Amino acid sequence: MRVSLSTACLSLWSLSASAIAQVPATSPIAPTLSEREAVRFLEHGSFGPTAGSIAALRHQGIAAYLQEQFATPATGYQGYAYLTADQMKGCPTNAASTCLRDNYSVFPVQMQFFRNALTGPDQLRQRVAFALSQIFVVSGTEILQPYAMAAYQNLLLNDAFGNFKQLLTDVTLSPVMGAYLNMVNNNWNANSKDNDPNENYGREVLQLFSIGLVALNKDGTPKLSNAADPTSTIATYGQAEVEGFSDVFTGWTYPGEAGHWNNPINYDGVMSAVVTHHDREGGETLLNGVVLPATGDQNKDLDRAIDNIFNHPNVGPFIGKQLIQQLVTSNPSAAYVTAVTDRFNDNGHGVRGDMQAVITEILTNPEARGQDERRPAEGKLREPALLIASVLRGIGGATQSDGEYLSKISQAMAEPIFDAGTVFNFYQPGYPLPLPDSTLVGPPFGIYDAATAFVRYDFIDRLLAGPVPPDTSVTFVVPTGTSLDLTAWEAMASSPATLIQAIDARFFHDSMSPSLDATLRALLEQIPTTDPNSRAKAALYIALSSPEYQVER
Amino acid sequence: MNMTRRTLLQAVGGGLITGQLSFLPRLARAATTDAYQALVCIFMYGGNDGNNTVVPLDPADYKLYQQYRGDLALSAANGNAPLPLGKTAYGLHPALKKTGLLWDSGNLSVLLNVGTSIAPGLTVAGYAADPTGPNVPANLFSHEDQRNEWKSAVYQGGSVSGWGGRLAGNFAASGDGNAAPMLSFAGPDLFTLAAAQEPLCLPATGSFLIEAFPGKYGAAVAAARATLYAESQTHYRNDAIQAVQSLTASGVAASGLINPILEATNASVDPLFATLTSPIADQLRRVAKVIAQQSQLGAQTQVFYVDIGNFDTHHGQLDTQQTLLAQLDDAVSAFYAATAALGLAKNVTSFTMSDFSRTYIPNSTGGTDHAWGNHHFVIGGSVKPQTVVGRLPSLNPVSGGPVGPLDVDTEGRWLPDYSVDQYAATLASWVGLSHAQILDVVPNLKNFSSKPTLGFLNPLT
Repeated sequence: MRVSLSTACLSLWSLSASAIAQVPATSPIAPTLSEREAVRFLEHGSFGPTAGSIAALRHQGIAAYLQEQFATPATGYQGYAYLTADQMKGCPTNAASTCLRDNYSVFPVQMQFFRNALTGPDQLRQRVAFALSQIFVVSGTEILQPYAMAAYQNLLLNDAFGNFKQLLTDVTLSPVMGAYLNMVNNNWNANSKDNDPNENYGREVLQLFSIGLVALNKDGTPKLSNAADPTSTIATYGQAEVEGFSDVFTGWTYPGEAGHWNNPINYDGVMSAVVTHHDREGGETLLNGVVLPATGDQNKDLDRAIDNIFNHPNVGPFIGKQLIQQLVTSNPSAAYVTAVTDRFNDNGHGVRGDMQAVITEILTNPEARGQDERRPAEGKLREPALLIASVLRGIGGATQSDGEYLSKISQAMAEPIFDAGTVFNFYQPGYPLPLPDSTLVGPPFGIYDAATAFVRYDFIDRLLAGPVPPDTSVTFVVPTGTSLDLTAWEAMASSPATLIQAIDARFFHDSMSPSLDATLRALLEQIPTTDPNSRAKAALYIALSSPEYQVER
Repeated sequence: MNMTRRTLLQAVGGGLITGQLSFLPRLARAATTDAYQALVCIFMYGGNDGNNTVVPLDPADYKLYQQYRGDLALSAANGNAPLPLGKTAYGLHPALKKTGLLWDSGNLSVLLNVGTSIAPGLTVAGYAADPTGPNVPANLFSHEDQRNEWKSAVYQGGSVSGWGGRLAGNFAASGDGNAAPMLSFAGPDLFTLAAAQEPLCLPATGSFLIEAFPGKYGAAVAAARATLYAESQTHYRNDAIQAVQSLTASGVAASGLINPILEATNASVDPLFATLTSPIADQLRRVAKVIAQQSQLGAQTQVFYVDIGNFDTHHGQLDTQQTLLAQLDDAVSAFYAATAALGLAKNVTSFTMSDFSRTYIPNSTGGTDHAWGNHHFVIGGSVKPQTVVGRLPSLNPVSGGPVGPLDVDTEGRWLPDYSVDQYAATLASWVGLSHAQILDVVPNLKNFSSKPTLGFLNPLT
């Protein structure tokens, strides 16, 4: 299992390497992108640039990178076997002390998340799926079993580059989401007025997974009934619609015996329809005044309901803006959101909801690619998972990790992967940037404070202090611990200018501030040339813990 | 309806709490009083089902309660007999045994049917006629919105600050040697934010420590590090970078004061929490330790924020709520005991908030869905002993099928009798804010001028 970043990069970039090899060595092709353009793109379109990915992208160009990434299958989460949901049976009293951690917590999946992020060739798919996992949230607070969380994250990975309607349908019929937001075994009982369908999924599918609460313009701003009154927003739905969708979403149970109600807990596959427990009366109020006719066909009812949501004009700006915030910047301009909405609404070939078109627009829009890091609003706070992955990938060489320390440190930074406290994710898209006179939002600041800020220092410090030893109680994967390879950085350390320039290029796309540059210079001058290890460590520590590295611009 | 009203009047000995009809002066703290005061907000994430937290025990009402709640009804038959709340016709959830003892000793007040509310005139009929009208809080029944409205006391259009942060802003201590008066053990949160000042978020474990950089250049590295979070960007401005700098600097500045407090064992506080392991107990233990040393932190009045999660009981409610309320019961009773041991019981008032209450009628998966007006607790030595503010919503059926006259729907979603504004204003007046200061903290209180506070606290003397 020991996979170094450098070998991963070889597999990641094998396609482009062979393309390059066809060019005669005597006429090196000019890179299509500058180094800083490539680095900045890879901040948005991968889990952080590596030496290999920068070089490859420079030759390949963004369009080819996107096509390659769209075609790269998911690394995914494999090998998590079904296990009974009954913890007493799965981990009887004589079981190993690690039994619950390994079989009834998302810890193994969190570890693999980081292994995949560090080395997987499907970098863009993983980035988009991680963004989707923070919109279509399920959490280890309720979904304890690794095979369940693995199945759900595989769903997001596999649907990341398809059509949004398919994604919404698959999420809706996932037994994992079904268990998390209670659509599973949601019963329709025509004879009882006292046991109404559970409204949890019916509400959140509208509020969080598709359209949001208020009617939006294409640029993501709320429509107003009175232009002079910013509070005069227009609700997209009310209680009648929530109850309407909740009624439509009745009659689904866990995968298993066909037609059998209340199947035992099973997170593998798609929820099973049981029409006798489905509301077949029709008459449910959906969005935009649509009333569902009685069809008697449970699958048709579901499809019509999903179609009703999917075609609401809010989906483009609501989902598109959040994807921009996840991938590129916390405060996109109105023009940027509008461009993404337009691509969601029509991919150029009359197709709505084409995720590849949406992602392409997000990553190639002039606002994403423009070099404008001096705007007060530019960029976003690196959330913990991206900080962690970017640091390890950027340092590169034979740097490697089994993910054990990384999942724990991301939790200490208040981002336990796939284990958010609620369906509202680790932080909210509208969280205000915590600066007294700022009018911006800064979503990841919802988990950034004085206490978690200190954890970021300790993370960099711990990595540079020497290898984090393997946790030998981990048996489901070969434990390797986490270690950095500083060889390349030490080799440059005899010249402070060279070292600083290399750090600037890799981690700051040449945008390092003069003050950070000067601070590094002054520091390196205090460490003798004969100690390249201390020079490399000190420079990386200061640069990667600096306030300006915490903000990706 | 009559039964409920009569029962309530009996319950509080005829002394139905009517609040302060004149605005505030009686509660305002004399300028010469400089006693320490603390407010502790306990946020119950997900929407605690208040309908099973405080239940009617009057026989006629209890029968209706059982009819409506079905399998979720707390009863002796399922081993969940409610605990009678002495001298009232109400009972507490059986997990709240120690909370009940606080009632008996006069240190618990119960606030019934309080919620997000813009003006007192809204009626069920008015809501039905225009569910998004000008006097209806935006996005009712949505977690995020109702939670944020509770925290901000702003009910439409959103807010970037919370009433806890705004309230604490009146007590900002000047000088470098002081910590912010708004302290959170639950991370940054809307409740704690204010335009003028950032809250200080304290570590959930350990203290504010940056590990020393290994090797012999640790001092040089530490000095370089300090220049970067201390400096403001002079060559260009980026708001996010500045926020990172200021938050980091605030932790560094506070570490000298806070670390000894969090690291040392407090003989009055720690033993009371020795057997408790829940996150809410750990947070309140640390709040008590800070309160014990409050004189070192410089703020005469402090506001604390802690939280407890997983109350969104759409399914399996009986078990989940039992577990969570038991954790809360242990934690708040230990916390009260700690303040008493410190001689500060009268100086500290804890209070609960939550997203919303839950539907009276269960859903088909053994749980309840999102609702509105809810019931809350205020705990401390300054509460008026054995005080219930308001009454449980009547369960008497009305034509058309809703659960009683305050149900805005058909599932038992209560139109609140009291506003978050009145709840917050009562706490704000207790810490001595002036009329004008309170209106800055709770701007919408202007709509409740006939009854701005709810009178559940005695002034600190």
